[in-house]
Amino acid sequence: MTLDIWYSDGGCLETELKRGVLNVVILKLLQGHQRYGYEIVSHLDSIGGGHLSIKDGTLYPILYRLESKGLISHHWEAPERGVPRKYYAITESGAAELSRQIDIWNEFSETVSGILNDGEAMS
Amino acid sequence: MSNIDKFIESVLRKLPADFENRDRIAADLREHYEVMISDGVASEQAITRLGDPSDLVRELVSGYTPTSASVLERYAAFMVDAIIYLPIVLLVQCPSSLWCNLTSRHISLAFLPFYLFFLIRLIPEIVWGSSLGKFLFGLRVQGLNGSRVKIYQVIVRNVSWYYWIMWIIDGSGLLFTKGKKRLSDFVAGTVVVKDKSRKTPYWMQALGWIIALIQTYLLMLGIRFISDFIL
Repeated sequence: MTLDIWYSDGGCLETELKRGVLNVVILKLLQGHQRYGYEIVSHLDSIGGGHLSIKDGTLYPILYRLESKGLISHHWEAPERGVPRKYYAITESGAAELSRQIDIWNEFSETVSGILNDGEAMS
Repeated sequence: MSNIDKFIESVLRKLPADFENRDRIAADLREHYEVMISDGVASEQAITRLGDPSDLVRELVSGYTPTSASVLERYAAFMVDAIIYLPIVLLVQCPSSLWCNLTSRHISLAFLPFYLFFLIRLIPEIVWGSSLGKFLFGLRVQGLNGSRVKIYQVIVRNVSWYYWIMWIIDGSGLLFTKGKKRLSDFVAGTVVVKDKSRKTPYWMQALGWIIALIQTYLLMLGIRFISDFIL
């Protein structure tokens, strides 16, 4: 028996965690690098060991939400050869939000790890 | 039609009618696909990588709330639909109910407009989501989550047209409800939205406004005629 029943939409823990951290991971990927959509998905595939892989199409709703909050911006670039690409870059407020989210994540993961890995904590 | 065209069309068709940014979504998906192809990914594989259109739409509409079309346009659309209905209501239904005890003959006459209305409004709404009037103004009925409207919802939201007093009460919801909806739209769980999935030609809207204005004028004449007749 798995814990999937705990999640109302039928998702599992990994899905829920992925949903929660993708925004901040994508912001991190854009920190210091402007990237196009396919590049972002490819990076998620390669750096996450499969845990952060998503279907390419579902990247865009995340990008739209980040952009509507002013955390990222985009521009088109047409190379001399090849197809035009839409590049995304982190904004100043995006960088500030990223820093804040990293602090929250570090504190949160440390707390949860402490509880889950330390049997004494529950006694 | 290419694979990516089919994919994009499938996504756009599943989106709620009033969903914004359709052009942007189409352009982004096309760019993503073309970059994959230029990177050596096979067309079929690229489409598979994009995922299931339904999953993509589910993510896109997360947090979506429908926006009611303007009351003025919905009124004008109703006036177009009522081109047959309204004169019969004014000439037959109102007077017969106001100054007669309803006999069986009056009842069949009084409810005649409803049967006509059923044909010219309900059937197109069930089949296409838009009656003739709504079509001219680029409006569409949909569920609150953007889903295609169901038969029972169309019937519930139109049942008040059965009798003229009922639709006055029903329409009062436009004045005081959030989202400017008829009361029956609340009961049916429906909303009339601006259909952004298709472009409505200006001549069509102009034609709609002309019909609506003439109908409004006739309505006012009819009300005056009835009030003179009764008083």
